[in-house]
Amino acid sequence: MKRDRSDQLFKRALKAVPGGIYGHVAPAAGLPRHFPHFCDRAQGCGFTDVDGNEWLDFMCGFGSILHGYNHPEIEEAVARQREKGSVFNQPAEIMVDLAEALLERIEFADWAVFAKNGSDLTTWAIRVARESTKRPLIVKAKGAYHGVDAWCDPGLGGRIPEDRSSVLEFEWNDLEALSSLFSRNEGRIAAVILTPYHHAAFAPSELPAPGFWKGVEDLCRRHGSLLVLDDVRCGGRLSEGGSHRYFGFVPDLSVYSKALGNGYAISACVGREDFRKPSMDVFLTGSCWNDALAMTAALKSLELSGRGKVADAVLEKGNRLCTGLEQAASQAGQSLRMTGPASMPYPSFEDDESLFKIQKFCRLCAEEGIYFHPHHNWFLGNAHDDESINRAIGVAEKAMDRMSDEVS
Amino acid sequence: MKPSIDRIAHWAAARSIFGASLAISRYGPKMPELEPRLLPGKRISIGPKGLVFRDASLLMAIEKGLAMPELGPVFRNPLCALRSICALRRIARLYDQSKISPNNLSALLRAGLESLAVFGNHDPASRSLFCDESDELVDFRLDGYGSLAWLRLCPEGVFSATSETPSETPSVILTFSSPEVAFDAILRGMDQLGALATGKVLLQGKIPLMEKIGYLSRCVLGRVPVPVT
Repeated sequence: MKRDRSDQLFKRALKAVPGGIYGHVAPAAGLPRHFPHFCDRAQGCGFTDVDGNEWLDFMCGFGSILHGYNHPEIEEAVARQREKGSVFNQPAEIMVDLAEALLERIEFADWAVFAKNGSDLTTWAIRVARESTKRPLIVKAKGAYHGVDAWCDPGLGGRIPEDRSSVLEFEWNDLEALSSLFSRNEGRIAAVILTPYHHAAFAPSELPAPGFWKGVEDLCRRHGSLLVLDDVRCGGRLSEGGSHRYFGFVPDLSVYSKALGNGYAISACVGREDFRKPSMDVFLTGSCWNDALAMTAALKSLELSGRGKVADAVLEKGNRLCTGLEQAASQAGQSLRMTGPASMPYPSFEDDESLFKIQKFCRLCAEEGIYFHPHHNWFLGNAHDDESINRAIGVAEKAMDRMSDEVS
Repeated sequence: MKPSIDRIAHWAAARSIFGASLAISRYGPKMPELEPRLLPGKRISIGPKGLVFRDASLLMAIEKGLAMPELGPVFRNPLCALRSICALRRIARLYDQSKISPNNLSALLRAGLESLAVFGNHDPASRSLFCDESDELVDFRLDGYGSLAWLRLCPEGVFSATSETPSETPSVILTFSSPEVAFDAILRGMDQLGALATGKVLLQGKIPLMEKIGYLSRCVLGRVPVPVT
């Protein structure tokens, strides 16, 4: 793989940006010498890095791309809006259109607000819950990611104990532990915030156990706490109407971002009527928060999702990929498990707690231009087709064979 | 005797001297094992007999290369004290950049890991970082040479450093690309994002565990002095 330009850029970046590249796309989180540092352009389900290497991508902008990179209908709609402008003193008409579109699709939603990132609105949503209940405590699942704010971020620095003194945790799927938190903190829990299933990084995904969501919902109702769904990562890839439908429960507030704008920065929180008033008492704004381009992209993206039954489509594509990869592994005498929903699978090998095997597998696939991330769930998009999935499986077969031949 | 919170840095410094003395003895002429003991009255003894420092003097001895030990123990065990002082001088020479060798790096790293282990074991904030981790082994390697030292996190959540090849498989392997990179990283820390991306270090295995260890090491670097050469 050519990487001269990527390395040069990284050297420049190191001087101008702490660490060169930061956050979940920082090289440290992946395979630094095997993945490129910088992208040049992308189309459909592939991208080209700054050295001209072409990649078949299974991360979809870490989930932000659902319909494929540079989707013509979305780009066309955005271009039309761009002629009128992007950010104004007041929101554009598109904000109302987009809010109405969300309410049409999400059956429990009576209102919607918008921001730019998932974190903006997960944090805002728990404040709405606190305002509504006048209670201090928030409950989350241990290891769950809800954004970059101090109450929940996975980093290590820049926090004080008080940042998390009002956040309680329980193990995902452990209803008894959740119930015990409610009992021990009667009348003090404002909300339980959860992702639709447990998709921690560096660990296999865990689906909700039978009865888990019903149990969570019951506990929240019984104790007068809000159920906040963080659908930032999953939204659009499990059900067009929100991931709660896929798992069969009803939240009070739900937050979306990632796939919502198909690559344009936007997040949304929707809520039930009961929480409209408290939502108005929790201040919300931002520099470009009413960006009409992102809202246009989101509206078109929702339209495409509905028209093409995209959630079902990406689940089906994911199934083909996951089945193919597990079979390839099995034929090579390896045991690969694709966990989580098939549209956003997390790969793990048996007996690979230290992750050496999965790192090696992803490195070998990267040598053939397949972008499989070793430590984060992957994302399927609607631009993936039979050809791209078959190619990925073919490369994986070779990689599995090499893994069986080579001593690591 | 466990160090009180205000003595953790002093204890870490003393343990790092001990770690270096053990590592040096593995590859060079034997030297006294400078095992430290915490003494009442904010004093620490270094080595078998004869060398006792006040906490503050110990840090000064490391940082400035000169500090007065308590005279009583020195006069009672002059030979022992002299041997220990010579050993301290030898350890200080490890920090001279013109003498980088895999053996010296191994001793330097062992010294650093001993410090880190003290914080991991006794500093509440540091301990809390690792409350979900146990039974882990980190292997620090030099490319083209092999392992320099290991850090072990036992099932009871206790850290220990070792220079003896362990029987277990490591959970994480951190490989320095060159002796210079290793020297720099051990003494001054490194740009943990940039070093990985530019290939100065290679990280394999449980990355989140190494992120925590790296964070702790950066916290420790600023709190435990190293000799200035």
